[in-house]
Amino acid sequence: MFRKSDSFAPRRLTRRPPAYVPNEIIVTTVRQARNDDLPHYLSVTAGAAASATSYGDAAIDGVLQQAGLRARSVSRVFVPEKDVAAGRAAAPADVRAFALNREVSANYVAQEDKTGLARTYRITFETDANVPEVCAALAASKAVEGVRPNFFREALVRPSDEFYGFQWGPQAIGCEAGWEVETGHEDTMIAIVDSGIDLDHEDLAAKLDGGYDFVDFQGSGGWRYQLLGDYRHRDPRPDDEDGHGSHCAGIAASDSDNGRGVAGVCWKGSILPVRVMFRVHDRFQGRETSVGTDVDIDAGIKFAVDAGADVINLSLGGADPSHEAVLAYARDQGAVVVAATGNENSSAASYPASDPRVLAVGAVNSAIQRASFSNYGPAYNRFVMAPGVEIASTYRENGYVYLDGTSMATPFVAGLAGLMVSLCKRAKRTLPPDDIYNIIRETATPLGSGKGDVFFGEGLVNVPAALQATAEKLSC
Amino acid sequence: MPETGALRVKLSPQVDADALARLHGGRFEAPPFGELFARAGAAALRPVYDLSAEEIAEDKYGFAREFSLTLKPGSDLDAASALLAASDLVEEVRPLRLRRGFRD
Repeated sequence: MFRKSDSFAPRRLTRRPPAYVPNEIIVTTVRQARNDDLPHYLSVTAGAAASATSYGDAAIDGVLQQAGLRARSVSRVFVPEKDVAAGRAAAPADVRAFALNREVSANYVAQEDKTGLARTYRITFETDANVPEVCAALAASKAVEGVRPNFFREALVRPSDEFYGFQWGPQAIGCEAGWEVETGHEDTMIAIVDSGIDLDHEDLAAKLDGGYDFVDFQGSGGWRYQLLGDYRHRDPRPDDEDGHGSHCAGIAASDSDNGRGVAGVCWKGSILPVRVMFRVHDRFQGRETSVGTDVDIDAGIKFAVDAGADVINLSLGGADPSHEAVLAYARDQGAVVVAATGNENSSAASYPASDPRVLAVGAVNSAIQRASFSNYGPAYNRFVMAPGVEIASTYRENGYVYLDGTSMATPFVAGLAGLMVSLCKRAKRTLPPDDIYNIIRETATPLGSGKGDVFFGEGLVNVPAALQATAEKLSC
Repeated sequence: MPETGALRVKLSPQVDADALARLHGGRFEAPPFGELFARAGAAALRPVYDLSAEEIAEDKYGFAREFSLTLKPGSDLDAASALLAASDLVEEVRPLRLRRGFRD
């Protein structure tokens, strides 16, 4: 009935990925053959239980033996409801982590037996198996109610961008699940008020709206800054001489799922490049960076609002309060403004992030720990966290680089806000900026000691949860 | 952050729209501001926002009253600041400071 295992024959490479997990099947037995002594899959993978190598029923093990197959592992698939309830009570923030740290019971309720959940098992094989033939043979067994391959499901959206594999940030905040719901409305505009944007960048150019260069610095850089490049005279060409603004733009909204470059959070819609910072050599730090004046930044923010930006990204700041009037204007006009907390590892206030009219953003690393430089504390008004270490994105001169900073965390949230605004546009509704901020805060995954943690604020932004909450609010 | 040798000046709400329009037109030597700015050591005065005549007249947010004032080289920034702050024509004076991008 079966071919012998072909484990010694070379496996052919195909461009088409398999439709199911190789060498693995899912079996639901009849009630009489249910085996609660088998370990749960989570317990085995966590090392909390030993793996079983046979089912313990001749009607099943005999079929496998006849096929020349040895089971590597036989385990239960579903966690009992009672264990889930216990996990929620003990660790509401992360039930899965709770389950992974203990042995999952077989304490199923009657309904779970009736529906077959209590009788469903995963069998993986030591050797290559012809999965359809194994399924056909087991389906004929009197002990088996149902059997199927463990099919891959396209549950998550993965963009085709060339460097997506280098980007950990989108996955950390659940973008792939979020993109199933929304990838951005064509009319959504995100303004990057920064050092400009590389206007000819292959992964940005198609998305750019007509911006402006507001830099007109006529003062002195003092002992610290040697002024470089274009820092005089406002003009309509907001090209990026530094790379900082281009990097932020790519994180928030690069041209995505286009087979090249990186994926932004908000794929569709436009980017408004607003140049308010210019290149300097920082003699104190011995490197080039970007700076800008309050007045040019304020002029740039007002321009973004007047141009119809739905979201404004401010990956910049300083210690002195400023920007109050223009931020009030932005809020009154319905623009969402997100700002970086800063990189001093300090609880001291920084503006505009400490202004109550904006949503402040701190940075985490890929282990979801606070970045060592990320500012924190109550000065930042229920701030949230986003990826900000080793962030791959677009750069000046058509480049791609990794950068660190709360500057990099902020455009993840700008992109999320862009997706939320996109949902609003589809529903032909608007939500005020404060509603957008509150949804992002309330749906963020708590970190540290929970909501309101001094170092993590309201937690790591959660794209699918924020989009779901937005949709629910719009349906009210 | 280091000083830039410039000030951010917000004029008093008492300054009328015609006077603001003159300043937005680049005529900062005209009375009543000419003497005040000259004594402060002004080299250039520039509106922060580019506004239409209607926006200058309405000015709900005070944008029309915001200017950046660049001083002549060697001017005393603190003295200029104090002089302007003491004037009835001026609501607020701040040193013009630089902001940084938060790349680590």
